[in-house]
Amino acid sequence: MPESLPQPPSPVANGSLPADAADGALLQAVGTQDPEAFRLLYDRYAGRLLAYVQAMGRGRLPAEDLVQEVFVAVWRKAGQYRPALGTPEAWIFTITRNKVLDIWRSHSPVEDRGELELETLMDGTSTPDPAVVATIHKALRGLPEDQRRPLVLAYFGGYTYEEAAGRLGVPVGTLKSRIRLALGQLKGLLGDP
Amino acid sequence: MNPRLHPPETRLLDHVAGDGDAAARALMDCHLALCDLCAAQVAELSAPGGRFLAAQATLVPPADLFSRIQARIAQEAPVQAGLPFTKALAPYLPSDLSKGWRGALTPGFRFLDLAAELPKGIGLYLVHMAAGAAFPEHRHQGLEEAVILAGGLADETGQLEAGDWGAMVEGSRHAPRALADEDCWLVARMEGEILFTGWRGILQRMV
Ligand SMILES: [Zn+2]
Repeated sequence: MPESLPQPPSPVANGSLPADAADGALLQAVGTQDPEAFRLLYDRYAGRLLAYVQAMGRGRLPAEDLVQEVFVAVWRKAGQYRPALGTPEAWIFTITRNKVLDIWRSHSPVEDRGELELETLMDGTSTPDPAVVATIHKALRGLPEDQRRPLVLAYFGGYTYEEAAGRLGVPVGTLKSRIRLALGQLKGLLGDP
Repeated sequence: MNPRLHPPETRLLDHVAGDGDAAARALMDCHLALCDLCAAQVAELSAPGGRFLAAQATLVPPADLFSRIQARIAQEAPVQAGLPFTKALAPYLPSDLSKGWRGALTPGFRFLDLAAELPKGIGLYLVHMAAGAAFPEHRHQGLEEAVILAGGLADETGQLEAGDWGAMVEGSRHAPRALADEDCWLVARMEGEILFTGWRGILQRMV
């Protein structure tokens, strides 16, 4: 159901969440400004967000400063989260990539360290679940080159459309349609989460 | 209940692929809060990102990072609650909603500049029209997109209600009026100014 108008505060009480509460329940509790839920969410995501932001690493700001701003955005926006919008990971991913890109854009010029590779973005050596990494690696490797590169740069890597299009030597419209195609293909390659 | 009018697919893609400004994101957040159809599309398009994040290695954050985040949040204006429309706009609103409103030559109409960090030439506004209020005919000098947050309005092209995504292209003109039974709230992203037609236009050009 879409959000109804206007909405009373959610009845989640502070501190009532078990430590193993699902991420979605945590996000919804953070949406009611529950500090304990926020701490739990931080403990679950900070390490992975730091790894991701560091891998994107084109900015002049330290990754932890960016992660700090991502969590501020999560705190402010968590009230919007509802399962219909996707998994908590996907929702947090989108907020993260958008926030980092916003910050980079406001601190122009961004350092250009050349083309971002899939391997740089995903260091499979120290992850808790190698099977998860293998699945997404395989899916991304299964994409045609001309779809994978736009996706790695713009969707995962935080390049703007213009930057990614310039690097790949294609018009922005072409880049967008390839990203769209790639996302459609990935749906089949990744299966259900 | 689902809105009838949706953003173009390219806006949904911009939202998940990162290339939207804060104004486009504000509109999209509001529409998504009220639209299951577009929410399902965003869920699908952002799913690979979620899988990717789940597969990230875990680094150990600096010990003081959480307390730094808490300190940053304490500096932020509290997120608005108790709004007469979707809370999806709350993160974009100033802490004191009673201040900063401006009028525009017409009774029952006021707007608030949300002045998010936006690229040059792009504006984001919260608009409030009293039930039944009319806004004078005007022409758009750039694309205007809007999401109706509550109530509704009608113009020559039809009627928009809560959740609907409306777009007026550059050069188009209309004279919208809030529906009679309820105040209308909307959020608008503007790529150009509006020019009033008739005597208001003459006045506008003088000032
Ligand atoms: Zn929609």
